[in-house]
Amino acid sequence: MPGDVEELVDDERALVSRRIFFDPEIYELELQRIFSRCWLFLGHESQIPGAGDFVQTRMGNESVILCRNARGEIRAMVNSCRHRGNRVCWVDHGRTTRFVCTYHGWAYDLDGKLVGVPGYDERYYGELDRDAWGLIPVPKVASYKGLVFGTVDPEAPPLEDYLGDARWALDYILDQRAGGTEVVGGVFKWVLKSNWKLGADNIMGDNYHAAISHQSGVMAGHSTVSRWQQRARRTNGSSEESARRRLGFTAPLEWGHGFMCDLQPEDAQLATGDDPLRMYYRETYDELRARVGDLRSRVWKINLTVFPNASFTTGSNMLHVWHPLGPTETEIWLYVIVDRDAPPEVKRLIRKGAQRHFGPSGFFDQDDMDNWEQSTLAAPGMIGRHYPLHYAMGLGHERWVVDGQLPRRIESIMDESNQRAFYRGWREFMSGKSWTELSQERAARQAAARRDVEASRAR
Amino acid sequence: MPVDAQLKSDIEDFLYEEAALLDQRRFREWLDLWAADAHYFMPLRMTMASGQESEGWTQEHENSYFDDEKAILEMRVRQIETGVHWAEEPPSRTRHMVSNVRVQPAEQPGEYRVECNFIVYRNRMAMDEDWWVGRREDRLRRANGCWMIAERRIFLDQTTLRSKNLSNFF
Repeated sequence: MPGDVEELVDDERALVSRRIFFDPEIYELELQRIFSRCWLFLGHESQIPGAGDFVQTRMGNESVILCRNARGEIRAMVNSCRHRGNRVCWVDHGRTTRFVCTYHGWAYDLDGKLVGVPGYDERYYGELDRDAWGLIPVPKVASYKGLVFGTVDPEAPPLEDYLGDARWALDYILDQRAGGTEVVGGVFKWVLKSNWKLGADNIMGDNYHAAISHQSGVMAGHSTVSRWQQRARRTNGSSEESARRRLGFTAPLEWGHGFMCDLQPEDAQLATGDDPLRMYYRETYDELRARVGDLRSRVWKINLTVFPNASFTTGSNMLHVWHPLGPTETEIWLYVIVDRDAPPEVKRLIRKGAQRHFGPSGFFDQDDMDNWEQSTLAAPGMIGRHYPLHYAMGLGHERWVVDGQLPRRIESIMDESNQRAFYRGWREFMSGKSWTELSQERAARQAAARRDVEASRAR
Repeated sequence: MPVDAQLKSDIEDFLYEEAALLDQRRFREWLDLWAADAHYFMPLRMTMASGQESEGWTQEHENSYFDDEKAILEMRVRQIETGVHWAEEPPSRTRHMVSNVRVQPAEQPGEYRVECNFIVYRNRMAMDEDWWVGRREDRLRRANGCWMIAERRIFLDQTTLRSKNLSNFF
């Protein structure tokens, strides 16, 4: 299988085997080599504000309890009693001091410690080593500016190292105001009969599909109502001219991350209009520019996927997490992220716009769902499965820019370089190489890229 | 206090006609049943422990599936009419079942609170099937001899949705 896996993604020709979208053996390997090694999004700190707060979340196909212990520290543990495996948390969220198993009554505290065993003296003769039978902890849990991530792999690099240049995009989302962000109450959750990777690679790199997939939403008159686009909508002339003068780039990153970014030109003006959103953006613009810098204050939109499965879209203030249920089934969780300090009316307008854009009732998300489902249905076809999928838009035409101002990027408003980065990352992790080996290979690649840049400058 | 039997029958007939319009995809005529100030609302639902069920629905300031004025309902109809709304192209086949109708006078004269249970079945393409089961709280208004829908609150009996979208009306 390891040898096979390397062949499933052809870097040179940018072809990807359909097998990776339906094969159960590959799915099982993904659970081990990707979901059990990478940093995965668990939740936002605002979901568990106080001691005892918990929320049921997911890592790969595993149910995980994310909570704050009595000291207010964030903890994550596998939602499965060590005795016979029964889930110990059956509700969506709440506040508690104990997780008690409904089967035999074993009880765990907010650190996952086994603190109660009925019949411990009479039936276990006091011999059960309670310290060894606590809930399985998620060994590494870390917060990045309000986003809580966890990894099953103790060898994984620190979260900030893993995020790398994706932080340029994440900081734009999370750092706009001193009060940081929070998520709006309620997480959209729905099931789609498609492979988890289709959404992840789409959001980070697919500008190509919007004109066809989403034309009905645009024709119907739907447009996003979002903080970042509104803030950056500093129009000069008509909106067509404004669109023409926007600078687009793709940033295919390491570890399978990547983002697309559109920037307004330097001479664009701050948006006028006295609706609450535009007023809010004008009032907070100086704070934004001081915190994220002049360049990022010109962001029109960013679409980012943090590998493997957390996709951010600033144009709608949203985060999709693509949880795998099986090789051809995905459970999508969708969050709306807002500035904590925004007034209630601003949060309301952002929320209304966001839920009309993406999500099961969203004008845009709805049309993606059928496309991904039909793609997944077609993948195992006995004939079609032998024909690879095409990810080669822009291959060989990359105009790389390395200037220290932004991450190393490709000047492009439309290509498939980010999807190629996603599947390169996929192949790296699926090879089974250790974090150490992968880090060494990554360092060698970056050194070679620097040499290329220096050589081209010298010419 | 039960309302007049004839009134209840009229209202049931109205709900059945409305369901027929939706299943026949006569969306423009369906929109005409909605008052100009209408509100169409469907919160998210979460699994909570006994005694905390009221916290199992998202509140007005939180995320919802639908929080729509009439203009947005009209925009959704327009999206279907484009013929390129892939979620509904080719068109779904739906069947709206309405039952357990209970009617009470509302606060405003000429308005009634109507609760009912519903099953909406959707069949798409070859084998795509969805079932949505739940409860509706409508506020109906009698004006110029016609019934209008002033408000609809939809409460689904699902937490995680088993369907890939909610591209149909409830």
